[in-house]
Amino acid sequence: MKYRDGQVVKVGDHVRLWYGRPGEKDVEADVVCSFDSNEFSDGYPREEWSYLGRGILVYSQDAGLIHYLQPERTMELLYRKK
Amino acid sequence: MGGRPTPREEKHYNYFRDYDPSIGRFIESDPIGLQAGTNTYGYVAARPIVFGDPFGLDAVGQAIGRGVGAWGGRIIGGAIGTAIEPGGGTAVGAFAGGAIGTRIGGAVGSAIGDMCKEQTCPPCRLVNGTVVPLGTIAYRYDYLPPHVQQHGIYGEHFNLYTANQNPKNCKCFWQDKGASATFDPNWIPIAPFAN
Repeated sequence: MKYRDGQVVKVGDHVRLWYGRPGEKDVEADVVCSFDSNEFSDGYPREEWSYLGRGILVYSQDAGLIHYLQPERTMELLYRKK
Repeated sequence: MGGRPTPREEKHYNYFRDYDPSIGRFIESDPIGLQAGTNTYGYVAARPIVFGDPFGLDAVGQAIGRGVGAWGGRIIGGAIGTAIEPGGGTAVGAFAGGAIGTRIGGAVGSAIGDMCKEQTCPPCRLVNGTVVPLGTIAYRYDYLPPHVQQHGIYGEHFNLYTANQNPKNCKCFWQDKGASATFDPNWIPIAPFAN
């Protein structure tokens, strides 16, 4: 999966999922699995999550775990774990 | 997150498949199919208990264990009985060994059957305690200018997510399911799961 700017989504990326409503903060998340690149972060073992097959799994404090086959229109990379 | 719904009279649209608001469910199977694992069960099997013992492995294991135990017990018991008292001891030993073997084998077989049973998951709950049946639709209001199109919809719409549960670890999660121009009162605002 790629961001709108063409960069490949990677595990460890911190992203904005969508903009907050007026007066609210944006909803952000961490990419915890990338099934497309077979990457899994600590706490999300391959043997438990790889069955989802493709796309990415993100974790957001505001929305929980979300599995995407395509990125949100507003999804944007904020920073990448070194 | 969420936001006040803005019902519209436009034709209903969903990104992957048609949705029937009267029943609060999609009416077509998930086109992702088995590629996405539980995507197929996520909707049709909206049940809080996602796994049980559909094949009766506990009972099967117990039966097999009892049979094997009885057979082995008779042989061993018979051999012991023969050693103690050749002739009559053989039958007595086989009987006693069979009885003991049946019990032991049954217990062992039942335990093995238990280990083979599929996992029973608790229902999904939001952090506020609300139980969310699998397949429940959550939404997020997404404002777009009227001339901008997304998911085949111009302007404002609702992004949709389906409640799902990982059968391997029972963790609950949402799956992105496209968007709709109209709102269904059965939907809930997207929120994190507690489990």
